[in-house]
Amino acid sequence: MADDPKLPSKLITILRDPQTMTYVLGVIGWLIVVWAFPFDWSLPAYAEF
Amino acid sequence: MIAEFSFLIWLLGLSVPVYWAMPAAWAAMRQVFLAVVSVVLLWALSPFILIAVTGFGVLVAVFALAVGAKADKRRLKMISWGLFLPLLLVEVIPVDLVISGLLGPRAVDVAGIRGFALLGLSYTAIRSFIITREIIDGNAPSPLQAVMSLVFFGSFVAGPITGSTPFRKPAARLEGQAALTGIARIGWGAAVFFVFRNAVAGADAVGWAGVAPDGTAAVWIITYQKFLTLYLDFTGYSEIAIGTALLFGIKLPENFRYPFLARSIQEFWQRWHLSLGAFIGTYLFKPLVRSYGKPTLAIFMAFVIVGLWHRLALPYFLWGIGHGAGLALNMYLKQRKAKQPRPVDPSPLAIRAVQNGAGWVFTMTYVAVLSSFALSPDIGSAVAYLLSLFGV
Repeated sequence: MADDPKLPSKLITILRDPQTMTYVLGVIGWLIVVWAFPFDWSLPAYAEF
Repeated sequence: MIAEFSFLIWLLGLSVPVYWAMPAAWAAMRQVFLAVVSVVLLWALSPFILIAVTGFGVLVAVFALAVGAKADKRRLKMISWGLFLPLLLVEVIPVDLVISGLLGPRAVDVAGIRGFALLGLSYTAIRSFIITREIIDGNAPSPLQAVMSLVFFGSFVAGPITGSTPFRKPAARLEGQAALTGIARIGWGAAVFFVFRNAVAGADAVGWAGVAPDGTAAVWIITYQKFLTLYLDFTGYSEIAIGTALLFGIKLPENFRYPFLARSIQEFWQRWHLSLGAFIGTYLFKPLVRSYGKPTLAIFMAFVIVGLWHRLALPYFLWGIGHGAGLALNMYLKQRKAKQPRPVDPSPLAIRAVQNGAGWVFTMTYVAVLSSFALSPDIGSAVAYLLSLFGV
């Protein structure tokens, strides 16, 4: 697989598909968000109203 | 800020399963559920916001009754522009003070109310206008669809701008691809909105309330930095809005198409805030061309109006003139070029690359400077900002 000379062009073809790009960016985005913020998954205290 | 995002995740985690648990035959019930969730959220944000949106809803209903009573459609179309009058009122009346005075200690979120008065109200006005025009043009949504278009929490604060179209036929069932796309776009949007934007803006280094940096170079850097921040803020929000809507089977229109690739003002507006561009084309540019016959004048006038829609203030009026003049000149030069005979030999690649590069630098600088100018708190600081670009 790693020796496949067509691998770079295959990768480019996959990444040029907008749907695939959306998924890739989504995974990157969620990783960044989870990494950047130590999430407190408890319900936020929106009891003011 | 992140508390708000975790709140969104909780909200979606609870409301999406309930929404889809209702059978497809209960399409109206699903919409009622989503409308109720949105209304409760608006109420939680501030009762004033819900009252203001209800007021707009009542005005739309009055137009619907007038259409039903066979009122003159041309006159109704003219009157429908009056839906933007509340934007004038909030400039004259200190809304935040009045509201906090009326509601007393309950009006804890005065800053939120002010924010709504300046941004959310513009979007509510434009949505009400589009729905009203749909009704006048004989393409009326159902009352439930109209309510959904006005209150849907996913896109309430800042668009994408739509009439009732996306809310007319939500998907009957949640497709796997739509769900994954929605989740992906919320994730990417959150990274852009909460992480990238904050990284570019810096911790309170760049406020929106004017700049007082040292040296001309610093003013230029902050100009580009502010514009990039605005883009990340706006595109991140749009991504989250589009993703949220997809989880409910609603397809909102796209709002951005790589605006930082634009090589001319015209191309910039074909890539930036597309839903506003669609509104300008349909309700301002085309009618103005029909009235005056001159596209250059029409585009100029349309953008002056759009400047005032953003905010009824002198810096935004001049922002509209700046964009309108740039687009009119762009259009004029394009028309003149089209009339000239095509050269037999196209320009060499190097020359075209230089032309494109110069066009790109000019476009980005022009829109960034206009943006910082318009975001200045008043005309005095806007002029001071312009002068500081040249070391004055």
